[in-house]
Amino acid sequence: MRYLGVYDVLAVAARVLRCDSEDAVRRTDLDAVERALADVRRTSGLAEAAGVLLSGLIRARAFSGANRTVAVAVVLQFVTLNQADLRLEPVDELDDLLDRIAADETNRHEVAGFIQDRLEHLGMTAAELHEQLRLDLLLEDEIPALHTDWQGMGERMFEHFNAEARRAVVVAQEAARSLDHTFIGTEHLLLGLIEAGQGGVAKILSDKGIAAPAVRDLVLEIIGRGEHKAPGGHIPFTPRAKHALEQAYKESRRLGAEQLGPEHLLLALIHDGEGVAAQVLTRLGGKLDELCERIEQWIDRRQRAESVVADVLDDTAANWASFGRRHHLIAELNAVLDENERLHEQVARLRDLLRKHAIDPDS
Amino acid sequence: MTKDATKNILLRLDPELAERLQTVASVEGRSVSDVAREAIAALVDQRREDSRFSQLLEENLARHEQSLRRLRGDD
Repeated sequence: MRYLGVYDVLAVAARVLRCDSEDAVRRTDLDAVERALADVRRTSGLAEAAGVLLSGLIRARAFSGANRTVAVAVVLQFVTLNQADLRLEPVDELDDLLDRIAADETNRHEVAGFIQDRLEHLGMTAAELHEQLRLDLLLEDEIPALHTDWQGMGERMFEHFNAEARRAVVVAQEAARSLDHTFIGTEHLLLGLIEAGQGGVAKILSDKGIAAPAVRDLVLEIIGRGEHKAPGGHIPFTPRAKHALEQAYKESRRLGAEQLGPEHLLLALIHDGEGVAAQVLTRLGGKLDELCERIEQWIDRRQRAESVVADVLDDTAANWASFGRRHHLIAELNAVLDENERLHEQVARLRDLLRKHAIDPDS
Repeated sequence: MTKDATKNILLRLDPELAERLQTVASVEGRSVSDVAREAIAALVDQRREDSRFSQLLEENLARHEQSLRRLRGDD
């Protein structure tokens, strides 16, 4: 799920209130917004998350002047960022719900149910498809250029990258360009992993509350925006980023992987310790050791899934049909394991909640 | 703007950042709140310049314009 940051919310408020950013800051209860955004991260599912966001903003009356309109616009922006739209009609019913939220006469489930009924999941738009194809084409152009960075090292390292890792590197270049940076640093690689990834690594980061807007904001805080627009074409890596890529390659070998994936790249960024990416991860995600452990657990689980599938399939039938079947089975098994893990996390959260209310979960 | 329309800023800052903020405020003879508000506004400006975010927002507001207009006020 893509989460909003406080600056995103303020940007929406400024636009709806038709004021400048400083006015929007003055007219917003930042603490209330931060509380609502933090509560959103403790939800599961888009409807519940949107409901918690809406309730938090409405109850706290977070925005002076047109609070209701700004709060609804913020929720619209949130659901759209997550590939959905929210039907507001009939507005009377929505107003009634907002009245009840303001009067504290409703609960989280009712609000989530209301939103669920009006949530319309969107497919990929033409513009997004265009963006996807553009990135794929860029990938084709960039990989040969990236190879040149490794000349003299005796091998073409990028040939060992899987498609996801390659895509993350290309998106890292896009991220650098969007910040007017003339180099690709570890911070851009981190942004690339988040923005390009849809697999386990993206989920691990998202679960830790590490989202692209927050990373981008911190990168801007730490190193700022470039003074001039980045030139077109290939952008070089910083020595630290190159070192991180080398370490990622070594991680993949150490862990017995056939190819270097985003998970190895993330481990390398964490182990780097002193790079901007590691600083950002520390400030947003807390303990790097825990993050490492989580990634290694995920890698281990995936390897076990692959091993189980390999045992199930007849090794002698190494043809395209069995390759496709194997790929499909691994994906299915990983999906089941992900769901299992999610349920375990929910149970752990519920147990914590019970303990907070002095109720023994095992009684 | 009326005084009522202004919200208090309550920020949780790490000590180092708070110290930097205090230094800037002292040097410029302004309140820490003012300096913090300006810094936040600069980051909001950057978000508003993000074309993808802005485009999505404009599309949203255009698509739901009539409904948003009809929402009751709560201020």
